[in-house]
Amino acid sequence: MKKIVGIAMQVFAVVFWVQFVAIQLYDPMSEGFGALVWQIFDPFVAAGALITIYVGFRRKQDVDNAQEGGLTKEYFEANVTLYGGIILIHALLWNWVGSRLLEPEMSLPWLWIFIDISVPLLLFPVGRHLARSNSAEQFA
Amino acid sequence: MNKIMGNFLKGVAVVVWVQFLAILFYDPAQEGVGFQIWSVLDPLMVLAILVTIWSAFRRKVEIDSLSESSLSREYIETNIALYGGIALLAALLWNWIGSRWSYPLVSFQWLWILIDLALPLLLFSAGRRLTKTEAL
Repeated sequence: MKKIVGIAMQVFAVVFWVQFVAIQLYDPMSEGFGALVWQIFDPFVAAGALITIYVGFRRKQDVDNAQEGGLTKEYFEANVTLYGGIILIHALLWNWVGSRLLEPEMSLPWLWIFIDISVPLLLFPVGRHLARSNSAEQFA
Repeated sequence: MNKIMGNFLKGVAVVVWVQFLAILFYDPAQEGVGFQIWSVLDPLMVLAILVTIWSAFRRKVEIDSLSESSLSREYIETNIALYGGIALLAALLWNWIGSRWSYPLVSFQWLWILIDLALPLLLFSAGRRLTKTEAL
């Protein structure tokens, strides 16, 4: 299960990265097919961010419970994953709710750019971690 | 080969840094020579970022294969170079395609500023690293 989710997150991260660049070629105003693709992607990004937060939270718990007091890769990655995921879901929900449900003016184009650049950077490593992790505890 | 690529990265970094400031003196509206220079620099910037990502990816593969769990300079530098490069490439391609080939033209001035500020930092440090290492 973890492996499937991990691979799916990696594939989605790559597709998302390509879509971000490619939309400039086929729908730069994001009003036609490009907008439809983003509408489909948005819930998956939200789901990916939630998985990222959960994985980051579990990793952080493990790190905090360990006796190790020094700076470790695991400490660094767990915190970046957790807090990065929280920031991402916060920004995404704000812009997403603003653009789809409330006032379109509430949605900020510059914030979409930051979200779209951050999503692959966050989701791919988490997917890679999940796909490689042997522990059955991550999703327990 | 590493030395050549490293010097290429450092060269692009310095030229972009200087051009970013100098254009304000000779073509502030960016409609004449300044625009043409950016047109030449843009593909070189894309190429330089791809070299940066490739070299950082190779380093990351090496680091991840080690059993070392503590945080090291090498780990921090490699990850910044790799993920920073990927983010910068996405931003650059988005703005570059949007400002040259898309119809209607869509690009952000503030994103160009961020790209032009970040790119020299990333490329120069990656170039310096490349010139000092023996194998890519």
